This record gives sequence, structure tokens and C-alpha cells, in this order.
Amino acid sequence: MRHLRRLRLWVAGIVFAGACAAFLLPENLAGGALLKIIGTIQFFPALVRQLAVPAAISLAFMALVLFTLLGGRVYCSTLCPLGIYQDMVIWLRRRLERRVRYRYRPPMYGWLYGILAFAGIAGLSGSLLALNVLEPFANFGRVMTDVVAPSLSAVSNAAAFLLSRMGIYAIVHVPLGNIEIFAVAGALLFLLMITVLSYREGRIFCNLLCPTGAVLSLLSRVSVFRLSIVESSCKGCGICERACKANCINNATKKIDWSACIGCYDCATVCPTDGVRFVSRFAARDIGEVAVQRERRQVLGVIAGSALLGGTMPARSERDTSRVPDYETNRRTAISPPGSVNRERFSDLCIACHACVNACPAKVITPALTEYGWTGIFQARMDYGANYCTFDCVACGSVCPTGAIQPITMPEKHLLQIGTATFVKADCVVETKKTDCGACSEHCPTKAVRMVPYGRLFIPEVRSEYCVGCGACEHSCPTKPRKAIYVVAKAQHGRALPPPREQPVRSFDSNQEFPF
Amino acid sequence: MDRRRFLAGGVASAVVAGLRIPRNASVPFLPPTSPRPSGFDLVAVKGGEPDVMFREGINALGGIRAFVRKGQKVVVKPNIGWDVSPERAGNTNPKLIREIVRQCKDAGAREVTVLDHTCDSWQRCYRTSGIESAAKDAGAVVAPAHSEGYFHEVAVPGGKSLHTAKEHEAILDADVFINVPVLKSHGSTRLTVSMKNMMGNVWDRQYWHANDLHQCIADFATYRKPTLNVVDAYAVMKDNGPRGVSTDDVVLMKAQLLTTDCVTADTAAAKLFGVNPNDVRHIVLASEQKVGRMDLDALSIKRISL
Repeated sequence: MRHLRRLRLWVAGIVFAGACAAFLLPENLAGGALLKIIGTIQFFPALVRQLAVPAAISLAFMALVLFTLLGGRVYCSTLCPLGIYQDMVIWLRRRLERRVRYRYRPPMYGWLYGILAFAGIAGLSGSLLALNVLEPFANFGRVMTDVVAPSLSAVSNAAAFLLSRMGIYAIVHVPLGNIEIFAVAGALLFLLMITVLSYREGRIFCNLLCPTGAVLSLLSRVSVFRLSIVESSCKGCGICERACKANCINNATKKIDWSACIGCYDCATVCPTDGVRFVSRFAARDIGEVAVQRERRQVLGVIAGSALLGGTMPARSERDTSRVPDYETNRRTAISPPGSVNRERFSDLCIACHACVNACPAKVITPALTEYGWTGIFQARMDYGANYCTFDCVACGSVCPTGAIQPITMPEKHLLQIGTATFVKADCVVETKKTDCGACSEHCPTKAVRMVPYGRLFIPEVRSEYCVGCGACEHSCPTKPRKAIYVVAKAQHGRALPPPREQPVRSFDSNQEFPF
Repeated sequence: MDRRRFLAGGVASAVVAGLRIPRNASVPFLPPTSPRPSGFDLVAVKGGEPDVMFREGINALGGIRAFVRKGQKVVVKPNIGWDVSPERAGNTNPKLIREIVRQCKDAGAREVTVLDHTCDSWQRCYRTSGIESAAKDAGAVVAPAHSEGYFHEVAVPGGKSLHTAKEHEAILDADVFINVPVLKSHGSTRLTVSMKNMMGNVWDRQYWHANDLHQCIADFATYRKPTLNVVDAYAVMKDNGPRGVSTDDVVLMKAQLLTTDCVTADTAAAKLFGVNPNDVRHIVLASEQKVGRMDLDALSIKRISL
């Protein structure tokens, strides 16, 4: 068992380092590739992936389920970055305080499964809010993207500023354009909560609030092998109970609440007589969940009640899309990232882990407040106030762990229409000031926005069939406070026509004489 | 407490002392050794590769040493506005930049800095354009220009619409400024050449767009004239500029213009492009504001055919 624990520590160390690097390294410097790997092996994203496309068997999901059915909640202590973080806090406490003793606490399965039932039913009926607020990988991603990464950037930006004054540009300024204060506040709050909870109460989050923990707990009830106290070896010293940060060992009854066990193997390692071992469930019928036997009816009642409550969670509120919204109204409606197929599908599948927010090189993907309705808080949207979508970039789809943003190829991206530009002549500089401008057309990668003669000036004209909705025109438009050109979301993403190709008129070539 | 305050003050003043104080922005860039080192107002080269044409052109203009002297700080300012590859001709040709940087270093420049305030994401522009690697190969410092912190306010006393601008600190700190635009079509200003290229020197371009773009371009040209302008007309984007849509927008002209006068550069470039210079309002305005000369017929022009 000592070896198993050591293996667990090694894997956890690698996963945690990888997860941190994934969210902290630039997308093109291994960050994107690591995000993809880490996201793939996360349980809840894999579950969403599997539910979204049941026909496509997700190997990672199958492996995670099989592992749990074999040996319980292995995931919670080895692959879950948030679980590993809590273990690090707990380790710190053990270093800081002389005697850290945990005591058995009957698991609150009513809460755990009740929250899962509530969040699950709400999720199926169109609101991932409860899941997104509690899901561990989503929270880890938000803490890294909205708190840790910007904090490190702020430090490096200060260094960049000082160095640049000495003419050294080895460190460059990192714009924090898409950092939203409410997202920072939310992530910070969660970080504080999880730190305090794990420091004081061990792994209580995992057995009280975590929806992933709840699913794995249910699966582990039928796992083949389970940690058990072998009566013939046990002297009843209670050292295992005191070591159990999940509070799931009861020394008095010599039972382990296996479905609450997060698989750290600390108990088996500290036991002086090797009395805690993996036992096949078929060999140990009598070992089980005492607490649940006693409270089963009560627990089931809570679950049923929560499920009913979950059904009443409002789904996204749909806005009237029959007419073109004005600029302010439009800013309040989300444009979903390229690859998300349509806005509703996206909001149904996005767990708000901010992998895309993090990976987006242009920092145009931004956490939503109410742009998907209030239940879509923290989900990803395109913010053309922050920047515009890079024409030759498909980073977001390649890192999305749930498939909410699907991976797309570059040729697909070049014709993918996530919205179309709308031009309001009355607000345009050319009209209001009677001077040339053309910032929108300058930035347009497909020339869907082109300049046409307007008296002695040139004025924008939108050819929406060529528009991909990248927001370059909106971002660069200089009018304030309303942009004279802005992208209206396409709820269902479409396909633009390839820009027409015409041979230009030759005015000069090197065989001619200079025209001056 | 007092000692702590004293130490903090000491650290702060040490940091401040180490900071580069941008040179007084009203000091013009150093002109060439004499106003017309070679006797020519404009050198036009055609028929060669960009680097070869520059070698021929700069020799005809008196050599790089007429513009760059030992120990000087030089800024080479290409157009790196877009995340497009060199064959799209949306940015200055990287071969030309490499050659200019190399010659500046050979002439003994203390530091050659290459930068542009890009439109598309800056790191992608610097990389995709091929300019970052070409400039670094030749020994230049490639400076970022994507954040307001790198820019400092300067007055534009001769401006009519533009009275102040925030200019990049490396340019403020430079002795010599070599402007290396690429000739392209432009949806609203018709053309983008050397004066328009200097929009990449400053932070707030939106102000220019919102306040009579042509006038602002001419205004900024009144502020400080480049030491030298090298117009890259090797591959020229004739349509859909300034970003372009595909290589179909590009024709091969294999030409290059070298002059100390940015108005002359833009006038000659307009003719190459097939546009009447009088139809490009910022060229006319700059000429009226005495930035430079449009009367090519009265100028001494060296024409080189390779």
C-alpha cells in the first residue's frame, strides 16, 4: 500500500504541475497542448462530452468509469487538480500544526446526492449554473485564469515596465483585456472557500458539494475492490481514523464509508499492522455503508426533492431576434465562440472552466455575466470591446474539454459565420463629421466591409454574405459611446461565402519606365 | 520606521535613476550628413530583389553612412500591421528589413530597433510577417508596441486636427528614424505609403480615424520628419488594402523608392500605383503644410534599372 500511495503522489504531482502549466503557459508554448491533455482526463468534462454525443464513445470517459468501478474514487486524489490542491493545503496544515487529527463524520449523502440531483436535472433542462458553480475542474480553471494568471501577469508587467525604460524588451507587457471583475471576485471567493474548508475540515467539499464527487461516489458503491479494515489484523488503535482527511473511517465500528473515500491511501500507509487493505466486494459482503442503511429513506427523499427543484431552474431566456438590436442591446447578447455551432447548444455544454478564455491569444473570449441569461454566468462569450477574433486561429476549439466549442480546421474557420456586421450610417464618422475614416474596412479580413464612394469621401458598406463575424470592424470603430458598426450574433452559426477573387489592374512593372 | 522610509526612498530613486528618460520630443531626428548627400532628391530603383535594390539605391543616395553614424540609436519602422505572410504583401518585405538593419549595424549603430504598433495581434504579426526573425538575424532589437505603457505624449505644434500624440519610447529615444513602408491600396485613404506608415509610431489611432484621418496623417508628418524613407514597392497590394484578402490582390512591381522627403516618397509611390497624387488628400495637405515637395518634375531624380 505504501507503493500505491507513492504512485498516487507522483501521478498527482505530475497532473497538478501539468494543470498549472496548462493555464499559465502561453497557448502556443505548450499551454494549449497541455490544456487539451488535462481537460481530456477530467471526469466531468468527459461526462458532458459523452452525454453531448452519446454515439461517440469517449475513451477517457470509459477509462475513468472503469477505474472507479474497479477501485473507487481514484480520480479524486490523482487526477482532480482541485482535489490535489486541497491535499496540498492539508499537507501544509500538517506541517504548521503539531497534531492534526481527523474524526469520523457520518457522510452527508443527502446533501451530496441532493446537490447532484438538483444540478443534474437543472443541467438537463437547460441550466448548467449549479454544476458550473460547483464543478471542480471548472473552478480550478477559473481560479487559474481569473486570479492566478492575471496576478502573475501583473508582477511580470511591472518588471516589463521597468525593463522597457532601460531599453530591454526581454519581458513584454501582457494585456489583461478580458479579465472581468465579477469573474475575478467569483474565483477568488471560491479559492478562499476551498482553502479554508480544506484547511479546517479536510476533504469536506468533495463529500458535500462536489457534483463530480457525487457521481464517482455512486459509482464506487459497486466497485470491485474497496478499502476495508480487516478485523483479524486490526488492533483498534484508531490511527487510520485520525489520518483520514475525508472523515470516512469509523474506528468504533471498524467500517470505512467507501463511497466517501477519496482514495488517498493515507490510512493504509499509517496502519502499523497492515490492517487496511483492498478487499474484493464479493469477499466482504458485510462491509458497507452503515450510514446509508440507516438514512436511506431520508436520503432518497432529499434527492427526489432536489431533483424536482432542479427542474424548476429557469433555462436561458431567449431574446427577440426578429429585428436588429441597437448597439447597447446587442452588447448584452452573447456571441458564442467559433466552433460552438449554436448559442443554445453552447450554453448547454459549457461548464465555464475558462480553458478557452485562457488559451485565446487575442483575449477576445471573455466570461459572460448575463449575456447567456443569468444562469450562464462565467460561460465564454466573444467580447469585441476587448479585442477581435484572430482570423487564422482555432485555439479555443482545440482546448475545450467538453466539446461545447468543437475543434475546427483553419479552412472551416475562414468561412465560419458566428455573426454578421451591422452598419449604422447615422453614427458613422464619415456621415457625422464628413471626413474619411475606414477603420472598420481596414481591419476586415474578408473585405465583407468595404469602402464605397460617398461624395468625395468613402463610406463603409457591409456585404454580410462574406462576413464571418470576427468583430474586427466593431473593435476598431472609433465612434463613442456607440459603435457605428457592430456584430450581431447568429444564434445558429452559419457559413460565409468565400471572398470573390479578382485580378487587379497592373499599373507598373519593372519593364516599364518610371512614371515620373 | 524612519530608516525603513529612508530605504524605500533610496530604492525608489535608484529605480528612477535607472529609467530611461525619453529624449525631448521636440528635437528633430538627425538629418543626413548634408541635406542631399548625393545631390539627388529621390532615388527610384526597379528590377531587383528588395535587398539588392536597397543596396543600389542607398549607394546612389550617398551610402548608409550618410544617414547613420557610429554609436547612434536607430529605429527602423516597417509596416507590420497584419497577421499575413510575406507573399500577401500586407507588411514590408522582411528581406528589405534584414538588409537595412544589417547596413545600420555595419555603419556602427549602437542599437537598431524594429517595431510597429500593429493592428492584428502583435506577436502573430511580428512572427507571420517574417520581420521579427529577419530583423533579429541582422542584429536588431525587436521591440513590443502593443501596450500604452510603451508610448509617451508629445506635442504636435504644427497640427491642425492632431495636437498631441503618444509616441513609442524607442522612437523618442532614437537619433535616426528610417521609415520603411510598403506601398498598398487603402479603402479610405486610397493609398498607404510613408506618412500613413507613421500611424504605427503612435498609440491612439482611433483618434486619428475619428478626427479627419487625412489631416491627422499630414499633421503628424509635420512633427518630425524621418531621416530616410524607403518605400517597398516590390510586391504591391492593389486591391482590398490595407489588409488584403488573398495573394490575388498582389502584383509584382519590383520597385523601390528612397528619399529623405516623405511627401516626395508618397507622390512618386502614388504614380507607381496609378493614382493621381492630387487625389490623395493627405499628400496634398502635407505639401500645403510645407512638410515636403510634390513637384517631382522640379526634383533631381536618380533612376536605376537592374
